[in-house]
Amino acid sequence: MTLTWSLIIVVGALLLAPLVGGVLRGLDRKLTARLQGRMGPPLAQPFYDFGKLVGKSHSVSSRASVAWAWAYFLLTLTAFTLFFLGQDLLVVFFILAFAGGALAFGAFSTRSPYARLGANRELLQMLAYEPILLLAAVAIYFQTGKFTVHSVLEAGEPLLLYLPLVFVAVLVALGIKMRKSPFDIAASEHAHQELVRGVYTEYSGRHLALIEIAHWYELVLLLAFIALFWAQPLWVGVLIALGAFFLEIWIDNIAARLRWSWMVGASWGVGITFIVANLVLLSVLA
Amino acid sequence: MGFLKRARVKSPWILHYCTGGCNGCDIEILACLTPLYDVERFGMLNIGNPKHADILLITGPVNWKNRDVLKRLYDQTPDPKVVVAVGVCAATGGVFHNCVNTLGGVDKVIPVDVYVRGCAARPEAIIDGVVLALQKLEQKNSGGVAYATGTR
Amino acid sequence: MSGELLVSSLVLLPVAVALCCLALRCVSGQKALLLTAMAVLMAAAVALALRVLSEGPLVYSPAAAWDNVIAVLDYLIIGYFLYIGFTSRNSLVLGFGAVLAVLLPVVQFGVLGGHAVAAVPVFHVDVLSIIMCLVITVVGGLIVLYATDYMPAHEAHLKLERTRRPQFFFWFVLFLGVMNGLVFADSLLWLFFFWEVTTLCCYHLIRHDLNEEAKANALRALWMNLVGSVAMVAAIGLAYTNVGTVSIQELISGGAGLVLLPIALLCLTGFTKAAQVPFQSWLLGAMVAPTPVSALLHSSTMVKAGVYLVLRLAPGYADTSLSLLVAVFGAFVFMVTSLLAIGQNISKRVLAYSTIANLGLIICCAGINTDLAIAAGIALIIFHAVSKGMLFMAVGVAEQQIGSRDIEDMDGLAARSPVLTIAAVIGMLSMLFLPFGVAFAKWAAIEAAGAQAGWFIAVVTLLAIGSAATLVFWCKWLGRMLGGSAPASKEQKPFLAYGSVLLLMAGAVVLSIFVAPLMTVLIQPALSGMGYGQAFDLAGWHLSTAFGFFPPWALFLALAVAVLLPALAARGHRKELDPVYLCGANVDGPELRFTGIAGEPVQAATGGAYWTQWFGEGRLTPISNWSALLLLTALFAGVILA
Repeated sequence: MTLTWSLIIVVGALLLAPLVGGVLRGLDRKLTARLQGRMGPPLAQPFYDFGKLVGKSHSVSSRASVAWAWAYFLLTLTAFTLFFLGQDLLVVFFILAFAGGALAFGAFSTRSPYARLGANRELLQMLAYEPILLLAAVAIYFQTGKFTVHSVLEAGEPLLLYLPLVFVAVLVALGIKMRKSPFDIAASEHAHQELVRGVYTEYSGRHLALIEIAHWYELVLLLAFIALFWAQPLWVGVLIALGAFFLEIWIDNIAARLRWSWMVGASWGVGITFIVANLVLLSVLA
Repeated sequence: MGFLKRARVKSPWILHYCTGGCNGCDIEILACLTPLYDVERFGMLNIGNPKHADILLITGPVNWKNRDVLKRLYDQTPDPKVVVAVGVCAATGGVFHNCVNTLGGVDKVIPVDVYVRGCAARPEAIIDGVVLALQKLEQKNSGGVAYATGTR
Repeated sequence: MSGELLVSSLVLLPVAVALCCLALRCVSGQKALLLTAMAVLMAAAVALALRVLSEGPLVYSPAAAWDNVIAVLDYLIIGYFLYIGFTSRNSLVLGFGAVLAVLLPVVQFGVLGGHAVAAVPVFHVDVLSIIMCLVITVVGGLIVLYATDYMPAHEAHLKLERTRRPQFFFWFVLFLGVMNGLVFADSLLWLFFFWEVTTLCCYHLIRHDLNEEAKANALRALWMNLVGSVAMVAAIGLAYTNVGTVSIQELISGGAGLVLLPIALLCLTGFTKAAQVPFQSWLLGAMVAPTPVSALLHSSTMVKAGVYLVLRLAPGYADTSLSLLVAVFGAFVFMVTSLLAIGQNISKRVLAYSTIANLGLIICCAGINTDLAIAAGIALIIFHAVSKGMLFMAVGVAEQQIGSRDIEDMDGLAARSPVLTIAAVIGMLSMLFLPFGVAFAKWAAIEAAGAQAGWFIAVVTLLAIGSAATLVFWCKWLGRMLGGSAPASKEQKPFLAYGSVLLLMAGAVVLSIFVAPLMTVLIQPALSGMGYGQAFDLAGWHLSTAFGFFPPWALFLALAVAVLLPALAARGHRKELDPVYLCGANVDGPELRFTGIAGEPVQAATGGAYWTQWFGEGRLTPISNWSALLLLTALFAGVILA
């Protein structure tokens, strides 16, 4: 892959991701509404939300939290760029972990009890999904011989055929990162509240818009990672990613929010054991 | 700028606060969120945080204890914002009018943009009032305030 | 300056300075002496490094008379330990001391015959030794200077009538010389001597404050380290019986199956010194000592002696089941101590558990035993020593400012001591996140373990869980320090204390940015000296392996834009701050208060979360100890039966 081509892909992804992310969120709300027997907002609703937030005056209760909100956004962008440049997956996930940490620090640096409690629970969420993502990267190494995104695109056969259990584990991690029930422990989606608004409580106006758009980038990044599980041809992977997205929405509407200990237990119990089992089977059968 | 103004109207987030009435209007407000009335189709969300809210839906006649709370919630809501007083109690004190423990309406504490009558106010009227509030929201920050036709 | 002179002075000069410290009482005299001495030591270490890097390993044996001095001193020290055990009525110290007192002469005269030592070089100074020496003199030197500011304040706090600083600095500076000797040693008998003296220094430094808790913990440290000493003496005997040498270099180049049992015993010695599970309680107990002790002995240097030994022996057990079990053991300790750290609210205990975890990670790297893993292990030694030493010092200063070691009391430290908090925040970020060095080493370790496949799947799983756990306890501590309103008084900044902290912080950042040149200059040569190949392709100052890629300076550029720029921009934001959302019940004023019952203002405070019913020691320590014992049994069973 030449340098120009890589740059074109990265810039294209950076420009398109907010649009794709917003449309996906709109689909999310529409589908949720329909599943609940309602009409639901228009598909472009997330863009209206974003526009409204940008146009609102903001209240700042802590200057440091504004800096951390920017750090969260820019670090997510860094991870996003690294992914679409075809870089090392472990590095991408570690930078994403830094971004998650920045979000927690932003909440901690206000004095709001809601934000701080939300930040603690945010850390527990990271405890739940981080091992799954790291082990998934190792599993991809097992199959392709390298840790990079590039190697998956160049591999001969789709990953899903050899890593089905890893795929299921990554779906669990997706649910936690998308903040969908039963894993919306730290801060929930718009229609629900958790500790008022959890880590987002003290943000408003354009800073909240910044976090929102960072979430869109993160969503596109995660779905792109899931699409990697069938990269030959890539459009099948995209369909699988969309399927995973809709599966999460469906689960969100039938599940209730449970305790954090259940979340960590379930994600480790299902996620880690599935990945280890998959790797053992690969070693034994290969 | 046109998109931003339009977005303001298309994405109104609500802060719902009850200042001590009988909760009848609150039940009707919550009914608006149900599938039968579904205000989310207008982009409305019941946000519990004033810092994220655009529309303040206030019910109840306001008493001595929560008038400071109401004032602070109003102050903590960033501009542009509108206040909708739902129910007769929020407008004039309603059935608690002239009681010693109530102030007699939301506009005794904060400026109100729209009054929704009823005891309890019906969901259709509440939705009507919120739509009117959205028109006012559009007017805010551009100097003018206009009344929609048909209101008294 | 000849290499031999440098080696001798690096070992003996601290001894001389330590003796001078016994005589000095005034603070400024101590500062002047120690400032000069540390500068000279650092210069000597750099000179030795340049000599070894350009001319190859330095082999040096002092006059044969020194062997007899060492032998006599060995018995004096063991006798002193028995005396301690007797006077404190501590049966464990007495028991292990007695075993040692019997075993050492049996090995020395029975097995070795008293003359075998002459054939073996005493010091073999290669690049790994000088990396350790640089860490000891530079990081250790800065911590000594920090102590010259910390100890007077510490004694004022304790309201001591008669200063005990002379004794403190005697043991403290003596320790530096002994550590240097330890990392230079090739003869196992000399290694044993230096090992014992570090145990002696550790004992006296832990019990420095002379309260009941300090004395009890010093005794616990003593007996646990004696376990390691017994293992070392047994290893020396077995090494001579099986392979016919007491030289480490010859031991690791042997490769025969019989060499594994002495190596396994030496690894056990390393595990006890590094306070691995189930020996972790001595390090946790050692936190009662004054903070410079914790910074120097219990994070940067003495515990590194344990992992240095395991790493040094790595070529000797490459591609064996011992290697796999060492890796599993190290990864297990990493995971379990990281989980335990989540439930701790005393700052120094969190740092202690984190230290044990990182030591476990280094041991795991030694066990994975590939070029990449050993490079990661050596890098981790350097980066961890710098960052952790700095964090201990910062926590010590914070403790003196707020009068408490509890993380709960560090709420709002950012407002009270902004410079200290920024240093501590950068220190914690450097321990936790890419692209800083410690996380880089963790990345390399996970890739190296994954690349090994097979049974190493277990190692990767343990590392992944441990990595997630480190996120939790660092982030919530970091968060606890942020926030708060403007302070009443200005931040007091004692020069040497703050200077050391900020210098090490800068060191952590600079070393992380320049990790590629660090690899070229120090770590890759150390690898080739140990018989490994090139770990990384360093084109363009990126680090690429056959299966992974890490671009440090590009990531730092991204970090500067992502974190530094917004932080600087936020400072200029002189807007009036809005009140926090407290359901509208805020009470006006600088403090965070809300209207409570009967209209009274109530202070709003949020406690930290420790989830002790899940991560508390009561729940996790018994399981961890038993599992670790099981792993160690498997380790030895594998060696004996193979």
